[in-house]
Amino acid sequence: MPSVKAQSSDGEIPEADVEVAKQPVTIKTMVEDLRMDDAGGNDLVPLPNVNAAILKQVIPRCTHHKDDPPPPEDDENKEKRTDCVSVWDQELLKVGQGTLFELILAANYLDMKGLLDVTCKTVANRIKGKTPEELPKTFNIKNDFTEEEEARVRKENQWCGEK
Amino acid sequence: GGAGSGSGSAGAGGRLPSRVLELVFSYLELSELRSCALVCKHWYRCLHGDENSEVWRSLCARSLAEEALRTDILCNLPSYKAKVRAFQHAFSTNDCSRNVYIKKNGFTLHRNPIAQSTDGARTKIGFSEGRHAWEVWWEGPLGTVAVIGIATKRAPMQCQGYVALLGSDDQSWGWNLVDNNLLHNGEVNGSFPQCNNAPKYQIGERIRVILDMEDKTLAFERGYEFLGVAFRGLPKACLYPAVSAVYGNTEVTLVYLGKPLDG
Repeated sequence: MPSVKAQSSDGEIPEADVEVAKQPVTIKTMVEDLRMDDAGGNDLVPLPNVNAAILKQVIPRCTHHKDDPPPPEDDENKEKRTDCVSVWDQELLKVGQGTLFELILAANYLDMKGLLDVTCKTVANRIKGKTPEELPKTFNIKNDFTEEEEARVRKENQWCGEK
Repeated sequence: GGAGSGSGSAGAGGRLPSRVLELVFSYLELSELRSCALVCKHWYRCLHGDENSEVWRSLCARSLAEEALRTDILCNLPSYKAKVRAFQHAFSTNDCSRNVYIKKNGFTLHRNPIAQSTDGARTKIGFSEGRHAWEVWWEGPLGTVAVIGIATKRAPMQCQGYVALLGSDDQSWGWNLVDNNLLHNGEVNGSFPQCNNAPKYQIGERIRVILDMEDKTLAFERGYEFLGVAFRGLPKACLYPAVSAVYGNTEVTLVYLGKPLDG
């Protein structure tokens, strides 16, 4: 089975079966454009935006889901549920916020719809139930509003509050 | 390096691309989005920067009844976000006479044909500051008394007989579209607008109400014509858009528009 080597931002070269590696659309495009499937397994697919630690988590997920049917076309008005994350993915996503965000960025860069959906659902689940004060701490985000700006945003958005 | 550790790179959440944040937001309810807007400026801009983004489009589709979206009731609202906001400010099912109900579309009140009763409703949200505009119109006959205006939470929303309920005490202010009288504290405050031969109200005609809680005034517009200030010296209280009606099976629609567009 032909394999593809991807070179991460920090120089490491995780290897993967070419069929598995083609799941991320970015890689699939690169592989096909450069006709890497036919060649010997010595060409490197450069991924400067993804570091090795993240790539090592993304590749097993691609392997696990390699025979999944393609996700159905989004039904525009279907209720967006956050509770249908597979058990396997839940395990993968038991990571800290920083790693979760890195996975999201990788999924976005590699154009992997399945992984992007599931990581975003996970973030949404972590947002639910938290107060505005808890959220910046939970996600390690600096709240850069001045007191005045924050008061104005609160006032403007009062209509969004509890029904 | 070091991204394998639990906390990972600090600040990554603050620099998620808008496209990705929108996907996260599309899984959240309105009250949760309110919390997200307060996290940081980037999250705020991502949520409120585009009033027609996928986040607002899908929230609008999920929150508003098809009956409202299919008709032209909301035609004067320019964005999905404005439509969601209008629904949050619509007539309240829990704050109206027992003789009226709010129709499936969420914006129109229907008055049951109960004899000898005047019936009204307040909206879900009242205002104690800022400037606010909404449009209101009758979709059925007015009868002898059809009043639009504002009320505090304490004003009664039902009474015996066919009277100008809105404006009947010091808790409400109203304009009777049938005889053009302004009403407050049980008294007629003059005729409105103050001109000769003011045109009669036509069913379906949208009247714009402008409440200015900074100036403490209530004014009305018809078509694109400003008719004038009807009431001054409003109190420093929480005031709700309200209506009162007497005609059996008549219907009244109210749509919140947001800040008035004028200066």
